[in-house]
Amino acid sequence: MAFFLKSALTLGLPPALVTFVGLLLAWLMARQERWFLSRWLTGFAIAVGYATGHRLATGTLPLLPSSAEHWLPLSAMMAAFLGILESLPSIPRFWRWLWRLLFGIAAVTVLLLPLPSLPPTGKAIWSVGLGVLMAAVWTGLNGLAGRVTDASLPIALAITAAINSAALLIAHTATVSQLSGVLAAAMGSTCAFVLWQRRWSLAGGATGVMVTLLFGTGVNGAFYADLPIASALFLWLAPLTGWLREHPFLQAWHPIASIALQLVATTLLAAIGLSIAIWQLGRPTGGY
Amino acid sequence: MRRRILLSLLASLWVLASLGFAADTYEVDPAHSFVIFRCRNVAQAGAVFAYGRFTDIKGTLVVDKDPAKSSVALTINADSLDTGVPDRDKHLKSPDFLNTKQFPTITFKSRSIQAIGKNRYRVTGDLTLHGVTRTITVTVTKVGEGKNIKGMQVIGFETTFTIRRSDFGMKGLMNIADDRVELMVAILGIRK
Repeated sequence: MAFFLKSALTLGLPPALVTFVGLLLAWLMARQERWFLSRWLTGFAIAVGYATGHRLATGTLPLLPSSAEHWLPLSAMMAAFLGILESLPSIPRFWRWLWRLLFGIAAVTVLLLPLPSLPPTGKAIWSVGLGVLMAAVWTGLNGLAGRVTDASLPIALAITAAINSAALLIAHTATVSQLSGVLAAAMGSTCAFVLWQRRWSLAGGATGVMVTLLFGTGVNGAFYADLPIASALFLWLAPLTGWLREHPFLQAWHPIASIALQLVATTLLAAIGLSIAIWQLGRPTGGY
Repeated sequence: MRRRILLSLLASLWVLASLGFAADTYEVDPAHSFVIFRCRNVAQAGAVFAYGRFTDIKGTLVVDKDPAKSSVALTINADSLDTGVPDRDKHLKSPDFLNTKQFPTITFKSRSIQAIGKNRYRVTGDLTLHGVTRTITVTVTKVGEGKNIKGMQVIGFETTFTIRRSDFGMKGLMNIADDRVELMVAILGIRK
């Protein structure tokens, strides 16, 4: 237990702190009414926070990836950098959707390219299929982030990333599990920030980074370790439960009650993903 | 006519001579070859080593009287790793360590071989592990050679050496498994 606690602290605290500092910078920009820059920096805060934890967990942060998981920090930074397209108000919705789709396909493709056991057609089918799903989840979360400015979305993402981490540990990859833990820490820091600074939106840059990392860890776990793809699907869809609150029935509820229901639904979906992994792979024996 | 006979004789002599000095090519016998590793288990306070082996080994040995003309090429199926604990095997094959789905083979190809004593050789070559190629030099001992019980000519070598897994891009989880991995490679070749 002390081992896991020590790992959680040494790998979780630095990315959480870096993310928080990045969000403070974004907040300062917002105070100067530089909204465009502020939104852009929000995505960078999470990407840089994650990259810090990635370096600590894997001992490396290469610019030229040689292993599939090395693409995660690069993809996150790319999503943050290209988040400029999300932040520009003048870009029509269709073009935003197209860029998310192209980015989603590219992000999955770079992860699957080094897999020799998958034929090129298989790689193409998975890349397009998962790229479309990634773009859809991204659009869904971005829409949600634009509507809801409370802490419910980062909390939902932190819960999902934490349960994703447990599922990846069961899928026999402690490193990718730690990487999902790093994402949970960055999201936890974002929760703290949003609880402090109410009406802070993650839309326009930050959601792209989060989705890229959630899908990236899932694809790594599913294709390079033993994570069942059905597990990954539930974990990817879990943060979208915020849309439940848009239902007229729930809109009549007290906000705290509807947030609680959303988070229970997120936990439930993610727990189904985890249960599938346990059902198919068994609980880890550990201690070897 | 005489010239033709003389030329034929010379040609035959040349062929015979070249056969006599030709290098022998041996194929690695997987049933009698071993790649065994051990690594200090840091998760168990470093009080014990984890042992394992790779069961699927292929390759070719070219053995010449002149060691400089000899060579060795080995290919190990990384997925054939076996430590006797299935969960540990899956973990070692995962992206945490060998990442066998991305890097399914471990290879060694010699660059130079030099005799350093009776039945002892210094072999320098390229070891490709986890997608990273590094030149290593190991001391190899010839264990023996001769006809086996099936009447086939066999030759056996072995070596022990240490690598750092971080040199091959496996830099994570140092708090679980030590950086240094000791390898023992024992190869039996059967002459083709």
